[in-house]
Amino acid sequence: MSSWRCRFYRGLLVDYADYDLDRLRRQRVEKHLARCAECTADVAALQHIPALLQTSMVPDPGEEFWTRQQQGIRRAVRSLPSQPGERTLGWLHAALQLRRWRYAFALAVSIAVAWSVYRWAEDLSRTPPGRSEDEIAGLDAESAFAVNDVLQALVPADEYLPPVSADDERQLAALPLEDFVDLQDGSDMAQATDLDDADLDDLGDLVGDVSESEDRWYYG
Amino acid sequence: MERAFAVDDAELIRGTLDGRREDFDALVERYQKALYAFAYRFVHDHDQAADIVQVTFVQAYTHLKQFAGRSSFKTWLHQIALNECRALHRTAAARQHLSLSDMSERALEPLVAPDADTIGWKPLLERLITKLPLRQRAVVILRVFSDLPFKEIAWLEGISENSAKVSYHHAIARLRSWVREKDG
Repeated sequence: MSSWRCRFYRGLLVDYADYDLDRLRRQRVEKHLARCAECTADVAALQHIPALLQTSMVPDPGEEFWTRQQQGIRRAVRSLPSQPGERTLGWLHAALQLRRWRYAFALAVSIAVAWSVYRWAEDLSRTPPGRSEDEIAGLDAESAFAVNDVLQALVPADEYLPPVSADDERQLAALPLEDFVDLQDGSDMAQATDLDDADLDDLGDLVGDVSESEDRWYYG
Repeated sequence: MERAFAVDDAELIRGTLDGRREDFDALVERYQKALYAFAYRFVHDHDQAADIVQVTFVQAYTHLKQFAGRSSFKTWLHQIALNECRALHRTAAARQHLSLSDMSERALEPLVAPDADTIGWKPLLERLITKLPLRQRAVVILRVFSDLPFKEIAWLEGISENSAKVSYHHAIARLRSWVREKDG
């Protein structure tokens, strides 16, 4: 029993020994058996050994044993806390018994995970680089404008600041200078009213530059 | 318990799932002896076989809802019992079988008798079965003693039908060669 031909016939020999082959296959097996003593001996063993084993009996432990075992199983089953097959999320388990639902569930989970990873990566890339809000709040006006310019260059306007309406623009223009200074750099009113004319001129230039820069940023 | 023979398995299973525990008792009565014989032939020990039967029925009760009817209930029970047999085999307690070299001359005596009072080979063959590799042992016991078709044995073992037949062929050929070895 070593040639590839014998290996090919192994499964068929079992059916042959059980008389479970159609005529054509039976003839092919018999043709092989005529040339192979080892397979012929195997067929004899396949017929005789199982037949011999089937006549062997397992020692009967007796009626008392069967009754006692039935009682033991009954006790064990009744001591269980739940009915057979009871489980939490039983509907989910039942659904997963169906192969197609398993595939659908796996696909849905994969899509959800991929979507979450994509959103996370997108959020990460949108976070403006640079300083934290506290650090920016502590800057003096010129540095704050400089940072502002950099942010304008880096981040599209519509993602960084809300659009300003024409009404807002008019209201802003109508504000007294003191209020504007207070709004722009957080200085209190006392500081604003202590400014001399030269300081006010400088501040006016600065505000003009900022407005011009903001116009470019918003509209152009 | 007459109900054990009057109703088919599917109805008893439904009854058990509906909470009628006496239906499960009927299933126990129906398959208890077959499972014991299967387990005994696998482990060749009365106490271990009895334990396997008990555990098998408790497992079957606990997981009855998972029985999807892809095989017969009898095959499903055999699958649980086979898993228990394998688990037992993995423990040191299961390694108590006689090896060929341990066999007494008395056990081998019938083999030298020429021309086959083959009835005398039976005890030897039964013991030799426990020397087979696990898969071959399972296939031989399920086929010869439990009378399961190869298709169900294949499902139970998770292999193809042809692989089950080849395993069976290997097992019988091996038994033959062991017997011949001792004979010649």
